[in-house]
Amino acid sequence: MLINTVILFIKDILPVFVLFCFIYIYIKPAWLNKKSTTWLIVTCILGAVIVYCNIEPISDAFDGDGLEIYSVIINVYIYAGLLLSSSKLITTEPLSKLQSYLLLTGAGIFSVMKLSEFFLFFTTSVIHQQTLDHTLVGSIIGIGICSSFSILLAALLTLALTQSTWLKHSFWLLYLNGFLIEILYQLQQIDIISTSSALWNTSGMISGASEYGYLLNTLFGYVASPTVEHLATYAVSLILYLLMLVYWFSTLNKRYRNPLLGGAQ
Amino acid sequence: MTPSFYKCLIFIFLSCMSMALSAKPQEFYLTLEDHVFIPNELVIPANTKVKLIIINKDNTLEEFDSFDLNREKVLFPNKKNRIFVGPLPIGKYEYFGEYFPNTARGMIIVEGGNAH
Repeated sequence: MLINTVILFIKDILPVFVLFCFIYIYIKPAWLNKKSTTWLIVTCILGAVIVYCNIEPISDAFDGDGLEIYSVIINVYIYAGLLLSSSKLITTEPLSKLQSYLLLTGAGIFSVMKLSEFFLFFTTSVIHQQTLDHTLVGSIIGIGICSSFSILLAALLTLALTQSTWLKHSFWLLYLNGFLIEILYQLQQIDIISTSSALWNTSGMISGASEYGYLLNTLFGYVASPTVEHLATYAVSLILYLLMLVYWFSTLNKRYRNPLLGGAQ
Repeated sequence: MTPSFYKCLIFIFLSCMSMALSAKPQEFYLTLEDHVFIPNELVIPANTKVKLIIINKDNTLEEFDSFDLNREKVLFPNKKNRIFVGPLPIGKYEYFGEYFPNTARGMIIVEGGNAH
């Protein structure tokens, strides 16, 4: 029970730690300070309780596909928020109000979704298996593992940011791609997107069920046996990211040339 | 481009649409009872998309999870849930219940012949 709690805690909550780690290192938004983070945590816990209390009607919506649709919408939202914030990778200018709002609300609803998933397990475990002590100890160990991992990840990302532009963009792109892969899974599960046969299988090297598989999946949507749809998702992710970079470069260029837009004279 | 060419295109398009709409995936059933999936091994046909209907007869929540199938679904108590699986190549695909992984385990076996 203890080990299962730790595994499920990591599975549900580690993505939240990783998200805030990427946001903190790459974007450094003005709202990510001690005071706002405390408020965000309190709001997310309240939000997760509300979602948890209504999760069955949400699941029953759309002919039983409610949770998948809800997950797709949230993943699209946070993906859009992160993609639009990519301007911070090429300029030191602060985020606009729209970018900040999208990122903050996206990170908030993503955390609510993940927290409510863990609450489902937590309450099932405590009420039906009467293992409050094991579940609590497992959750505390889980917090410890997630925190330690976040510190290591933050150090790695900081190193990537300072060492190489190529690495900086690659990590960010791979991370964004993870959200699209998650959207793909959900749409395949409810048969909106079809699934083709696997192109190759790397389960022998890194199984999706292993700890490394979990971790890589959280970081960039690792799949041991990708299909054509996965490759298409990677391609779409790359194209969207390049388009976004081109847009930000051209915007900066215009500003630089036109003094009225705040550029150099 | 003659009008008959366009008629031909429309005919092909409509034929494809009707085939897609009429091709209902085969249904397979899994039941969760006392935190055990029944049947323990479910055989489905190879290279065919199937609809997997999972009935949770327990009074507790469970989450169907499979790394091999890339599927995850919360199973509410005393409810029917459905997910789509495949097309899959011949092989064995493990699944388990996340909340009670010691007992709720099973395997989907994908075979070339008749499935049951």
